[in-house]
Amino acid sequence: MALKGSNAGDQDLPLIDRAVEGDAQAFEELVKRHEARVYRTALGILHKPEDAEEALQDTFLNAYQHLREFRRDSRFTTWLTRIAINAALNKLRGQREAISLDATDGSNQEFMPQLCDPWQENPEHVYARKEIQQIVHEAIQELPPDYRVVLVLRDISELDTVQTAEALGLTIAAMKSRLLRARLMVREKLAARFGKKTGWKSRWIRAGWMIRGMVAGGSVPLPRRKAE
Amino acid sequence: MLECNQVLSELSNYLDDEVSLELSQAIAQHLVRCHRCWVIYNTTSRTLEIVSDALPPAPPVAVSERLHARLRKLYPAGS
Repeated sequence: MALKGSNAGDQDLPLIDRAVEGDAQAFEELVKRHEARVYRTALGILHKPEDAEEALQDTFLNAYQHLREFRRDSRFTTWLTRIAINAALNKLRGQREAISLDATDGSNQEFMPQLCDPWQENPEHVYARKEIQQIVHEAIQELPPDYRVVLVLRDISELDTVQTAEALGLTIAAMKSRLLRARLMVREKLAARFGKKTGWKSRWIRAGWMIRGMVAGGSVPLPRRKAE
Repeated sequence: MLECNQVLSELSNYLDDEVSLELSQAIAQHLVRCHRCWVIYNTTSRTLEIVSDALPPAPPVAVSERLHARLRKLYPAGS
């Protein structure tokens, strides 16, 4: 069962009311609030800036023309994100990829990480920032579209768990399962570039970890806390 | 005691701080003892940071201007 969202406290509602009444300034304000997120979503899915720009325009043109159909049983962000995903996927359809957002290759199957050496302390000392961005872009683009979209919404567009599931019409459990797999797949691709080669030094470090585990006194970094 | 595959299956939730306190503590204990899981945790966390920084925070100014110019053509005259 897909989630039933809530739009309680949606800050966009007063602007939407005015825009529906024909107030262009109000719609402009909505665009300003959301264009960065929509652009990042489109660029994450499509990779090419010119395609992302077209998807950005298609999204807001479509939103403007269908604003009266916004049912207000979900947040405006979620509704707009759905339009943006469709705009981006339409572009992909025109290209090489056959698109399905249904789990295609068994998202219930576990993805087992293969490359498990630690990474270099500072990849940015080895690669230029642009190079790192290129590596990440490629890693994301190599994901099957159904995994790519989940990762983009959650980790690039920074929607929360509920919004991401709702935008994709998935249960939270199904979305999380796909997200874990997508994150691990990207990690694997980056590990191939940023991982240290295993040598005597890392074996010593590993031995140190085993001893540390035996005395079980050390501390572990806290989980990354995501701003909601 | 958690097994490695249990830690792996909760990794996303742990990184997003969406696990119970009890499970969070159990995972932290496992990560202290298991080098392989710690590396996967650490590198996945770094993956998310790198992914989040990989795209520009907003469209270039020219892209935004073209968007607004195109929308203005749709608005009713006088608005």
